[in-house]
Amino acid sequence: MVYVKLENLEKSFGSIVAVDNISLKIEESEFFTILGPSGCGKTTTLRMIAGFYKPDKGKIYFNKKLINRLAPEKRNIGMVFQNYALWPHMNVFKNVAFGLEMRKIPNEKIKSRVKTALDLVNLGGLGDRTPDQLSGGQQQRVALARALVIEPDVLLLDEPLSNLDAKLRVEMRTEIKKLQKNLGITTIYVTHDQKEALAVSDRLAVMGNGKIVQVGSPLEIYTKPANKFVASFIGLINLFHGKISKINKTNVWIKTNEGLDLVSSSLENVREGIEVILAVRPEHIEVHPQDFVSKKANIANGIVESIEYLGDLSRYNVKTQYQLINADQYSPSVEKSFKIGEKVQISFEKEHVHLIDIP
Amino acid sequence: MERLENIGDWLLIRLKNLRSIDKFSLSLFLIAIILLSVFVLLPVFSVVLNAFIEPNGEIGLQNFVNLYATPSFRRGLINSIITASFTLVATSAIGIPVAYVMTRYVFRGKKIFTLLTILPLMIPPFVGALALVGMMGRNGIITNFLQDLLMWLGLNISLEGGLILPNIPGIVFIQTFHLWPLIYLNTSASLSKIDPTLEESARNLGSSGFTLFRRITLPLALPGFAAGALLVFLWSISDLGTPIMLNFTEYSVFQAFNELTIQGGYREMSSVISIVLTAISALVLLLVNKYVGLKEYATIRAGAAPKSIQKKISSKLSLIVVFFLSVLIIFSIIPHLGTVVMAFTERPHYGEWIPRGVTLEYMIEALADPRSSLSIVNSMVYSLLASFAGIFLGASIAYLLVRKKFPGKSILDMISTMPFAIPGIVIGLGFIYMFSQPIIGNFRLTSIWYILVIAYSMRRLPYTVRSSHAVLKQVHTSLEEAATNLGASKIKTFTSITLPLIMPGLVAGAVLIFITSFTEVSTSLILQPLVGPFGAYARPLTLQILLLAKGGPAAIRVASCLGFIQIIVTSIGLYITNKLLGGKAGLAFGG
Repeated sequence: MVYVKLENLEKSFGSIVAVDNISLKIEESEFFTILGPSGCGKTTTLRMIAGFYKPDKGKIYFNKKLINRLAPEKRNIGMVFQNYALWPHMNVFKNVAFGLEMRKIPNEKIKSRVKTALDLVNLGGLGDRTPDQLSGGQQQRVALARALVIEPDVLLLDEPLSNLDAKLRVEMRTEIKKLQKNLGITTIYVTHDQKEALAVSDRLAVMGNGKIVQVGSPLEIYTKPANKFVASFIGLINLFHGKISKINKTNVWIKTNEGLDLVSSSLENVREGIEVILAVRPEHIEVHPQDFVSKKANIANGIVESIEYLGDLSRYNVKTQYQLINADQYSPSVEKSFKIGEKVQISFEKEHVHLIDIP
Repeated sequence: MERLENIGDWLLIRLKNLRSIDKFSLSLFLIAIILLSVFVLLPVFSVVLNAFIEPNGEIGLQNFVNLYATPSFRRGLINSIITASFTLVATSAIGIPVAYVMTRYVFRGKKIFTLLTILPLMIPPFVGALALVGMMGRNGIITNFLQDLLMWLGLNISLEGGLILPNIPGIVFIQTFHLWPLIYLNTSASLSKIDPTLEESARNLGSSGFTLFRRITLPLALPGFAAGALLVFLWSISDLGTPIMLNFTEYSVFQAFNELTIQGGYREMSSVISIVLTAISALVLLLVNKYVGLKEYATIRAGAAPKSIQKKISSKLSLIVVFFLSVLIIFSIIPHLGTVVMAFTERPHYGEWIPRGVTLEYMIEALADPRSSLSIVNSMVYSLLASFAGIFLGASIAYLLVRKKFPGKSILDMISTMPFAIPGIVIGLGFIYMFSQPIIGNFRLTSIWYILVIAYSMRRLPYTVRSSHAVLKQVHTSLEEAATNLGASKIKTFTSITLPLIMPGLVAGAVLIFITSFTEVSTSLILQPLVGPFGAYARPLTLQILLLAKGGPAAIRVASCLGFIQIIVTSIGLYITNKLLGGKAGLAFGG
């Protein structure tokens, strides 16, 4: 098994810095995701690992071996391209067999290994088809089989699901994850889709402007975003800007710039008088009629401005005297629902108020 | 200060780009630029320069004044422009409706017509003119038939001089029935690419019928039509074969040719006329480019077009459509039929229109004369070599244009598309200016046959650059990267991925050069008088056909036999191209 280590990698195109001094370690057999908006440098990083770009600075290791100068064809990496890059002049079998032919594997073995690989991705029996006779999902599987059949040290996936429709995307990501766990290949996955990243990764790195902003497990990233960028890029979040007014052993009191008083239980690095940003996820905010007696620490009154019904939840946009606040009501029903213009009360626990961007 | 820094940045990036180009690409670039300079830029430049050399050796505008002052030259120029314009109108009048009907309607026999519409392109224009003159000229079979018909009807009209006369209508007639498929193919390519929803939304907003066609469909199809129209205009104005066949001397290209080849001709006048013709061509090209835009400029495209609207029409209407298409096709294949009739039937006596019997006499005569039979072999060899050279150079240029970033790229792009708007006579003339001086002793570059190979490959360079460009663009770099990623070396990636993918395009481009060179008129005729001591045995086919065609009624029959062979070879080539390009061969075809 192989681990991948990136040390102070840098890459510029002309005057644009695409990757700005990043360091990462991807553990053996780990499913690691690089997540970020388009143009953040995630694909550039992946292509440096694959060997298609030479880093301007920094080092790439597979285990203890420095591979900066190794040609892409010598790296034994399986890669799935965003557009799949299936060769239109070869059928499915030949596409998958290509990497084995390059490794001078005897024909008999190639046949059995290609068959195994195609069975693995549920494409057994389609070896004679040409790529244009396959659906998008099937093409994706061929690309995956082609990358896996060579038993690569590392598997690179460059937004492999972005060309599929929503339902297929969810199916395929589950399948890829299962395959990866069974085969135990160290995998680096690049995507801009935060839901996908949270769903499949063991760990993930959030990238922005060529830099790594935060590395952690999906749960850590979601519940404890390191800063405003991560917080607003991953999921929906309510942000409050304010100043710490009081601290004791269990609580922090904050007055927001709009004048709302909030209580939080996150005590890390807090000092009285400093400016902070508070983040509260919509799913932690409850909506009640205005006369409801809440036991929660943080309460505000407002008017329902709009409602998005999403099936498993209703997302309320509540206009308080301070600012707009998103609140999710799970398993909504006709009886429990509110109407636009209705006066409501919102409330949330102090445990769910996270302090970020503490100076 | 800030500005200065910006310039510094800009320079740095430029220099980086220059350094980023690898040695291999740099040498390709240099080779291409040198070849293009020596064989395109300098010859054209020398023609321009010589146009300004006055009879007394001084530099000035006297030649242009003479051109204007000589009535026959002035008429020649006016005739050329009028002919090209009328041919354009006539081909459009045929091509646009056919394109519309063929892309929008479903009717019986449509498949056959799709095949038949390419027929006119299968006949080398030179041979077509020869056959038309033979069939519809003085004492031609069709002329005699119509004469008898008129007599039988009791009409006393004499067709003594023939139906096709050495005048503008004669030339327009011949050009129109050869060139209308260029309009049809380019327009229908555009039409079939129109997204149906664009028309549907116009309908939805209340537009229909002719208004819909005029406001929505036509503007959308305009780039394709413009590309075809441009091909037709440039082809017509630089056409040398047809006026020679009709012996219509008041035609600019023919006059330039005569000034160059006839004893006592004045070579500089030939330059002046050619330059004026080039200027007209360039002007038209620029105007069309500016006002219409040629985004789809006669593109060779593989792959399926989006589904367009196709309506079934009633059987009554379908009958009318089939009738008109049949008439059109019949007119279009008169040259083919004529060639066969003239090559394989005995000559009827004066005034008769029924051939007197089948004969192989002329074909045997053609093959027995080494000058004729060798001319077939010669043209094959010249054209084959030209297509190898052309595709190699064209593919290299296309590779640089598609895959590389370097300063000077736009210049390379421009020079390599230049021959498109330059009449063949300019290239021929330029070659004479540049290469007919003795180099060592009596040896001249123009006195050996491969000057023709060079002229052919340079003249058709835009086709090969374009066809290679198109296929290379389709090969996404990730296809190559996927192979490298799986362990293939650079060479292996090229041979097993890139080459097989671009091969059809390359071969199609090569075959196109082959066909167009095989039937090339202007440079073949202009450069021939210089082809060495064994000149008579080194002639290209088109030259041999011309010489025979001018040699009396029996020799015309032999010329037709050679023409027949030319048709067969061209048809095979066109068939191959069509297969490789998925039925779009006609688009790349022209002048």
